[in-house]
Amino acid sequence: MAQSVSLYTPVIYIAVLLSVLVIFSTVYRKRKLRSLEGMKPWYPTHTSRDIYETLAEMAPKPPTKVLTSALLRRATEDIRRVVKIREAKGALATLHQKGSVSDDLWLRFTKSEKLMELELQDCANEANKIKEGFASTLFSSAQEIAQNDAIRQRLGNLDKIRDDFKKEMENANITASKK
Amino acid sequence: MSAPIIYNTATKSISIEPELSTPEWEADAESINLMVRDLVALGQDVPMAANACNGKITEAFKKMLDSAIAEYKKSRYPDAIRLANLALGIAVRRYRWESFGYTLSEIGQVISFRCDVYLANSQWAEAFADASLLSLVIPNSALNHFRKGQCYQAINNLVAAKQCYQTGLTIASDNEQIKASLDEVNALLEKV
Repeated sequence: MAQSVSLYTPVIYIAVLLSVLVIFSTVYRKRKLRSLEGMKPWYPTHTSRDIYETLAEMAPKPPTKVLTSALLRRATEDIRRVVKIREAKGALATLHQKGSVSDDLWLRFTKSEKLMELELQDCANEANKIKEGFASTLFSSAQEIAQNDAIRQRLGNLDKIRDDFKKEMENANITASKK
Repeated sequence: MSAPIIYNTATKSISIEPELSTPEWEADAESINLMVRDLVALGQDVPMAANACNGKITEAFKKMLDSAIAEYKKSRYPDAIRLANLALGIAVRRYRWESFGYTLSEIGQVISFRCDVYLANSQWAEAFADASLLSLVIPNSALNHFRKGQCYQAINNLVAAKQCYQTGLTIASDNEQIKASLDEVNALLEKV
């Protein structure tokens, strides 16, 4: 005669199953988090963010204009990074699909993208702390600053281009005289 | 991470602790100090909207460039270059949060003009530097590639000159001046 199954058996079975699933999920998540923590950041440093945060935590607080300038510099760097990430994304995604780029690198890239979103959000919050509504113009100003800085940098390189061309001129003269 | 900065309350400027200074930190500090100065000059805690334009700069720039053009027309090249440099200095003084369109337009105008003066004065290296910048920041102008080509042609780098003229012609295929220069370079290359 078959033994009767206790009424608690399915309950115990479900409890054990759920416990195993919870333990597995917790361990898996912890491992994943640890691997993400150990991952090298895409951009190792963010000096302008560090400067802004140091200024914002100073006591007494520096004048608003100083904080605004530091935040603009931080947002400018963020804009540069966002542009670079966007430019790289298409090519990197294609390479990842073809298997030319490792999963780790792709994960690092997508993680950096998410971190950038958080960084932009943080910048916007800080802008509104400085002046209500400043967040709405912060990034457009930062974009202009990034472009204006780039052309000023190019203007600064004119002397080097001129000197290199002078060398080329001298070489051309030497070659012409040899002929 | 805490930044190695020193804040000077008297001058409202920041500097980097000398022993921890790096070019990156220094560039940040310099940029922030410049913006503080601009905000103080503006008299506002936050910058104006990016599409707002500083009319005084525009006016001063135009006057200076007109004076430079007047000198050029009288064939006084050194004076024209000096005034063009002053005009460039005015254009660069524009607040950096102002629309890049204004800066690019003014810098483009004055560098194009200065490049033409250098070409007229046979200052090839200076003209080449300006033409290189122009062909980089305003690449859709055939004239910028033509200017660069002229510099190469002057130092007998005919292959590079030909490439510049060809690039110019891809933008403005009916430009007679560039066509003539390309023909000239092709003829010279055949002789080599």
